[in-house]
Amino acid sequence: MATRPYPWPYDGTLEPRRLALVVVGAQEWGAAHTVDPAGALEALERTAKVVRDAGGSVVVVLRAGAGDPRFDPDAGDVVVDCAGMSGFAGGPLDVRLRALGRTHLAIGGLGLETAVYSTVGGASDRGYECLTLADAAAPHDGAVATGALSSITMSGGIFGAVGTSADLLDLLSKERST
Amino acid sequence: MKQVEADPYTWPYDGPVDPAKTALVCIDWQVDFCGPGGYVDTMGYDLKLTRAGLEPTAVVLAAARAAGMLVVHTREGHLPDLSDCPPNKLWRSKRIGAGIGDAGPCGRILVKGEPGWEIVPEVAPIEGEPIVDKPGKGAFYATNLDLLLRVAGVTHLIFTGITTDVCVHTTMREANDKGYECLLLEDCTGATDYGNYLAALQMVKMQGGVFGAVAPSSALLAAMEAA
Repeated sequence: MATRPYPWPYDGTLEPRRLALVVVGAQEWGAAHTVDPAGALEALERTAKVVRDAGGSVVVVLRAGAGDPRFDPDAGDVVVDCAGMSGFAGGPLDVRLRALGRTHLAIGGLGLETAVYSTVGGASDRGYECLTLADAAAPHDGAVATGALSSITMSGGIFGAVGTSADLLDLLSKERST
Repeated sequence: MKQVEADPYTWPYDGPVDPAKTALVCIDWQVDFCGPGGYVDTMGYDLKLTRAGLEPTAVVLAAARAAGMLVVHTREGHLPDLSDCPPNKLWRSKRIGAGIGDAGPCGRILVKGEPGWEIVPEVAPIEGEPIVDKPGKGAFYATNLDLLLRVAGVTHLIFTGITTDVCVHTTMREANDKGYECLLLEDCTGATDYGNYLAALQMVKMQGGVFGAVAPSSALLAAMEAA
């Protein structure tokens, strides 16, 4: 495991029934203003498939005014609206995650420094255990994004941990083999 | 008053600064974040970085009070029994050697009522200024901040405080999502890492000011002094 600053999740084993992959900002605006959105979307699609198969939820958050979606949800996925850069702003994300019993969030999308960072901050205050998927979160500016990822890992992981989609898939395959 | 020469746009977007509609929000200027023996000090970070904004903030505070602007202070802290502290937050703090609720030189770390939880004297609240206590990083989550700003008729927020990338950013992002017009004073804030401080300023300004604008306090003072 290469998640930093600690092996995610904090409470040891990842239970897929407590996991949600949260996709934020995957819309026209994000695609137009980030570096390599296609790469992040590809990582999200690949990750979503494994998360669904393992029994995790896939939650797609669509921001009002940010244009058409760029991530295709499956029939069983949850799609919710939000009214701000944070997925928790002005929408039912928190209620839906609670109702689904999802306490552990892997977060990615288009706009690492905007939608992803805002959502990770909101999730942390609400007690969710967050893993930011660096390769599945397209940055607006690579140098600024490096700072944002560093900020997440300060103070022992102030907004949780940072890893890659491969780290999450690795965790889920371990879960399946036990 | 005039508009503030800010980056990436002259702030606020809708005309001169109006002290009746503007609040100065001072985030978490607590001993735990910028005082010797507090939480940030215990983690081993350089206090010079989080203390750097104290002097200019004190000047801005005096100007805001003189102009009759609402001044709001925030404090992060948990109940003594830690019943409002998420277990993962507690776990991480213990892992880095500064456990929330553990005894330190300034009392129990990040616990309400302890010496480390108090706001430092340089920028302490005065009689009548609201203090918002929050259990997390964002000052709008699980608090009455939004309501008290609405009741006061405030639509514009000027931010000082620590740390730039965590509590200030989270709060400014929440405010922006709620429709407040936000300005961050770059010399009145600091982070536990200088590079992260710079990145945090940049994040506000990207995409035409996605979370508002950034200015030095001198620009705000100049705008406030202008006839």
